[in-house]
Parts: sequence; C-alpha cells; structure tokens
Amino acid sequence: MSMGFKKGFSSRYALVFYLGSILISITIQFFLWKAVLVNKPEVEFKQTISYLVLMQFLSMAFPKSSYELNDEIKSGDMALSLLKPISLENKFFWEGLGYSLAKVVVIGLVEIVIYFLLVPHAVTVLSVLMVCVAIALAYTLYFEIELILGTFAFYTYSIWGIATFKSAILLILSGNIFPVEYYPSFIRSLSDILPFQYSFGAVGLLSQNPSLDLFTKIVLIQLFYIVVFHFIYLGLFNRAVKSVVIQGG
Amino acid sequence: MRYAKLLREYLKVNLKALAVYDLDFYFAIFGMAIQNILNIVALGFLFNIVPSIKGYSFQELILTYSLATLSFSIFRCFFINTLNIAEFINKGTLDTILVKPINPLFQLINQRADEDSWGDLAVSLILVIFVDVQLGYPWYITVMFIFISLFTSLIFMGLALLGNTVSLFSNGLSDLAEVTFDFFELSKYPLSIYSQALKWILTFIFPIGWIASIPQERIAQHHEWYWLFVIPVICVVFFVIIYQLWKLFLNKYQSTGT
Repeated sequence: MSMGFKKGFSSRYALVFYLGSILISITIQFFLWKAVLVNKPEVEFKQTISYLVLMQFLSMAFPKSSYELNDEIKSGDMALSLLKPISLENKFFWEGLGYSLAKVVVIGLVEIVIYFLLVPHAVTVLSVLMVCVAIALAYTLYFEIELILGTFAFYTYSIWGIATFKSAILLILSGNIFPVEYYPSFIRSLSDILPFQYSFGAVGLLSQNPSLDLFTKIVLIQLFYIVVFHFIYLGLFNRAVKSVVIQGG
Repeated sequence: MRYAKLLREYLKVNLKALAVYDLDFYFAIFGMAIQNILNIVALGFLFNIVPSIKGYSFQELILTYSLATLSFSIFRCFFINTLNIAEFINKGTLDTILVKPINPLFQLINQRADEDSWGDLAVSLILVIFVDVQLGYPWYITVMFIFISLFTSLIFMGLALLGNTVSLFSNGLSDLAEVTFDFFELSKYPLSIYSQALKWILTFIFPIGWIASIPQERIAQHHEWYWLFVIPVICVVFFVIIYQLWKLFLNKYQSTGT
C-alpha cells in the first residue's frame, strides 16, 4: 500500500492535471444539466449535480488494475511477480489502494468539498458511514471486475480494446455518467440485476436516500458479486497463467 | 515528393503494426463503436426529461455530437502521436527525430497511427449522414460538414501541441496534451448551453466552438455559405500560430540525455 501511495505522489503533477480534467468534466455536466433541468426545482438540479460529482470521485478513485496487469505481461515483470510470496491479487489490491489514496489526497478532497457544497439535503454521520461502507465494497467489486478483464491480457498482450468495451458497458449500465433515476424503466431493471451499478449508481442512490433498508440491500448484492467474481477471477487466472511466455532477459 | 514517399512508407509500417494486437484491435474497434452508440442513447435519456435543450432537438444535439466526434476521430486517426511527445522526451527518442533532416512534426505524427479510432471515424461518419437525412438537410450539407471536419481536426492538433509545450520546457516531467480529450468533451455540446464567459473563451481563446457548434448553426441552420471559407481559415490560422509557438519551444528544448 505504501508503494502505491509513493507511486501516486511521485506523479503528483500528473494528478494535478487530472484534477483540472475532472473540473472541466464537472463544468460540462453543470451546464448541461442546468439546461436540461431549467424548469425544475433548484433542489433537483443540485441533487443531480452532487450525484454526478460523487460518480466522478468514484471513477477517479477506483483502481486501473487491468492496465497494471497488462503492463506486467508486456514488460515481462510478470515472471518476477509470480515468484514473489504474495498473490497477484493481493499485490494489485494493496498497491492500487495506496495509489487511490494518493489520488484522493490530491484530487478527491477537492471533489468532496464540491460535493458537500452542492448536496441539497442534511448529511448525518450515519448516512456518511453507510455511504463509506458502500464505497469500500464498490471499490472491491470494481477491482474484481478489473482483474477479470486483466486476465484477457494473457492472451491478447494488450488491454486497451477490452477496456474500451468495459467503459462502453459501464457508460450505460453503471449510472456513472447519468443518474440511475432518469434511466428508462427497462434499463433500470436490467442495471438493477447486473453488477455494474453496484460499483457506481447504487452508491449515488444511497447518498441521495440514505436508509437502512437500501443500505442493506446494496451491501448484500455487492458482497454476493464480490464473492462470485473472486472465484471467476481465480478460475480464469489459473487457466490464463499457463499461457504466459516471457522472452527471457 | 520526398514527403509523399515517406508518408507511403510510414503508412505501410503503421498498417503492419496493427497486426501485432489483432484480437484486441477488433475489441477496440467494436468497443469504440458501441461507446458512441451508447453515448447517444444516454443523450436520448435527457430528452425523456425535456423536449429540447436550449432550442436543440435530439437530432440536432446528435449532429453536434457527431460533428465533434468526426473531427476528433480524424485527429486521432492521423495526428494522435502529437499527444505522446512527453513519452518521446522521457525515452530520449525525440533526439533521434530532431537530428533527421525531415520536419520533426511530420515524423512525430506519422510514427504511429491510432488503430482503434477507425471505428470512431466510421460511426461518426455514418451518424452525420444519418442525422442529416433525419433533419432533412440536402446532401451537400453533409459533404460540407465532412470538408470542414478535415480542417477542424487541426484545432485538436493545435491544442495537443499547445499542451506539449509544457513537456518541452519541463523536459517531459509534465504534460498537458491529454487536456485535448477534455476539449473534445466540451465540443460535443452546443455553445448555447455554456455561460457567456465560457462561450467567449471557447470561441476566441480555445476555438472549440468552431469544431461543431458554429458550423452547425451557421451552415446547416442559417445557410451562410461564406462560413465554409471562414471556418477552415480560422482552423489553419490557429494551427499555424500554435505550431510556431511549439517550434519556438522545440528550439529551446534540451535533451534529457536518456
């Protein structure tokens, strides 16, 4: 974890530029939704924008482990990682968490301030706790999805195409660029069943309506998918790792 | 003639490079196409809330989106390497480019083609044609849009070079070229949704408005044909100014000795 944190801080200028990029994105969302919700109450606009800022925060903080795995395969460093007495999953999780913490310190704090400036309802300690637990599980779930995608790199030696495909699916089914509540009913029903929403949109919904019932439902589904995806990853990895070929030196 | 010959050789090498990642290449093409379609589906959701956004109908908003995507995909297909100058500096390969008796920018942009943006280009082209038909625009408007997009892609290249000047004076430690992607996001929507101040900045400082919003408004909606000349001139002038600035920083560049 400390390695990941140091890695993040070593590229702090890149993170500052990333912050600029996120602020531009928030600006676009702000003006677009202001134009869309022009005849709606101010509270609805604030609720939508605060939801989208939270989604930006999650997208920024979540790990990009599929790329890390791909880089190790391409560079051949995978051979060394496989020899170490720590599983790849653990290595990527803790390094990724450290890197994410560095991002939260440089970028996330600004986003959190913007979120609290925009959120139209009172925030209680209990609701903050519930959202934090849901974020932690959403992070883990997203990490498992990233690992599963990363195993494709063992065969393709490049992850860009598959990652693009993943982004396309997340775009419509996770609620990370469009609030779930505005989805048409059939897409909403579909995303309720699929795992992607439980990494993004469900956390946003919980932040807007922090109730114990919703919290319990979301957490149980998140836990279910984490366990299922963990076993899927192990199955895929054990098969994929046999195909890896490192070209010496 | 010498440059045309070189261009042909670069093209051959770039096409061969595509064969390296064959499976992922198809995934990327398909993924980008799906991403574009889903982006439009998401835009469609907005129109479940309101019938029009700042006077723009769903089709008109898709036209803005597809014009911006068409221009950006032309930039990505042919000039994507302008985003990677920091990497060239870090690896020391910029030095090898500078010692060759060929224009450095020509070498840079031709050293790599973006394999997966061809899907983007195809989808945006189909979208522009499809939406123009839906909006009842005559065929020559579509041709005009394609012609203008060839020039507006120079705005993206100019912005990438502008971002690169930071890499040149910081010896690759910082890089602002990726901001080009953020400018692309800004260009996907009509200028009218932004505040007056932002509208002014996006027209006269960072000319993003000229990529999709202004051509759509001036040519397709108001049939002011002289913009067909004005817009390419503005794109070329912007690019030339930035290119001169970039050359200035390139002349001051000191090798990292990597």
